[in-house]
Amino acid sequence: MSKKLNFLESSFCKVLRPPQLNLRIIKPSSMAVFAFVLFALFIVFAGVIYDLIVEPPSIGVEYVSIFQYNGSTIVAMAGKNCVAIAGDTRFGVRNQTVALDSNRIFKINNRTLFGMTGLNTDILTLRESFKFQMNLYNLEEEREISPKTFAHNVAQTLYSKRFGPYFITPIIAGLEGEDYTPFLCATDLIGAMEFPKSFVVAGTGEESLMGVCETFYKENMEPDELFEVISQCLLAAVDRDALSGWGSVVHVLTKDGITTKRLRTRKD
Amino acid sequence: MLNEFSNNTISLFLQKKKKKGSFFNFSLTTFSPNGKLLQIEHALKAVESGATSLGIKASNGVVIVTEKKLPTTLIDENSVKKIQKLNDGIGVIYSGLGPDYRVLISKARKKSQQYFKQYNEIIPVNIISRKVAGIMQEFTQSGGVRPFGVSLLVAGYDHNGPQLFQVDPSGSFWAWKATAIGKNSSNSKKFLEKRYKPDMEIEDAINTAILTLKEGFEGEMDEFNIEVGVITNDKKFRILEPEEVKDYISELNL
Repeated sequence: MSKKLNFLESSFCKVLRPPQLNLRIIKPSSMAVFAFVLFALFIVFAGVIYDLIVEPPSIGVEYVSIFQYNGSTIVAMAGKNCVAIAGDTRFGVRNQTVALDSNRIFKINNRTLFGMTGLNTDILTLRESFKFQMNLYNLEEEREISPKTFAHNVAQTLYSKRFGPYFITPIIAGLEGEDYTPFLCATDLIGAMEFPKSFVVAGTGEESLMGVCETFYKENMEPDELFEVISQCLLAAVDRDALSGWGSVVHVLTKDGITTKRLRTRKD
Repeated sequence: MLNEFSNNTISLFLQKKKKKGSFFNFSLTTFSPNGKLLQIEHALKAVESGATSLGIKASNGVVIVTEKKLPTTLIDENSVKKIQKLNDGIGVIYSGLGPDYRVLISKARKKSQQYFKQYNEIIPVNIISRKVAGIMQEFTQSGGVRPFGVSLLVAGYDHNGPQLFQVDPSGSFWAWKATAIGKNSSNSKKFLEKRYKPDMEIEDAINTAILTLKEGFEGEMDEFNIEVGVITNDKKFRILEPEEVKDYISELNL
């Protein structure tokens, strides 16, 4: 035993030597120790309370934004002298589904369709508000409003509530002018307009919709093909979104009129 | 009626709560026993003694002309612009009191810009005429104001084609194919009745308008004492330069 130790001693301990630390032995007073412990405790508890306030613990989050209170999804696409707009028909309050037949896409006139996502109460109120405005417009101007003009009107109305906005994302789809050129417009909740040429998505399922639409969209689709594409896109997207689904409706607008079809989706 | 007026004023004077200047809450335009509004009749008289203006609607445009009679040659005629634009697509001319016209133009321009802000579209001619007529009617039924002493001719080209509207101090408005207002308006209208054809082209219409104006013109007509405004299917209202007016006048050998 002592031989082995001698071997270890001779090989390692000769090379490795403990460092020469000239340590002073501190002997603090009891008050100093008490103060240090108190300070450390304060820091720890303050940190815990800060964390609890900034990030309160919860099991899953109810909703991050007011747009997720009701949840809905709409997509609109342009084809060859036709447009299609499709949306789900779920009306829910947080994670409970209340109704399966809430309509979010409204006909303004034979050339214009108007859909909204977001807070359901604002959708219904704005529906009435725009119906009021359009009735007066038809009576005073003795003509139907064009989709572009209606889009600007929507943006103005939303901006007028800039500091207390309506929580919706509207989409306007229509056929503009004598040669029925497709027209798409989407705005944010305070009326910043965007005029895409191909498709536009809105709602809680918009991220999954965006990907599917990018993949399947083609230019210059005929109405039948457009219907197929937009239906498949919407169905795929609402399957991935917990807050949308429970039924869907697709409108295809051509110069001959509007065709409306309801599709079955997953009931969950 | 005078007694009533002074009674009203005195009672208002006695009410200490009233601010200075807001004494007239009652309208100055009241009905007469035979059902007329005399203030409006008087306003129309003011219009009739104003400088002649006329307008003709052609099949592809509208033209409005007016005589720009300045009291003395010392006035810089370039600073006097009687024909005004409400926006790029609508022009207006008047007969009557110039200052009233100025106020109406600025109100009408504001209304047409509000419309453009709302709809991003140029306001249609019949809509702006209705709004201007509404403003003029307000001033016949409000407290302490008098009616406007102008009649307007509003010319424009919109989705309904070329249009010419007249707006009166009473607040009534209606569309014309061809008309004249101001001095000599009845003679000019007779002249126009003979000359007007529904399928007239705009060039024809400009010539006819200048000819009609010449009929009642006192003195020599040249390019500096008339103003001509034209709108065709490019939907841009243009006030003609004096050189162009000179061409038209010399063509007619006036």
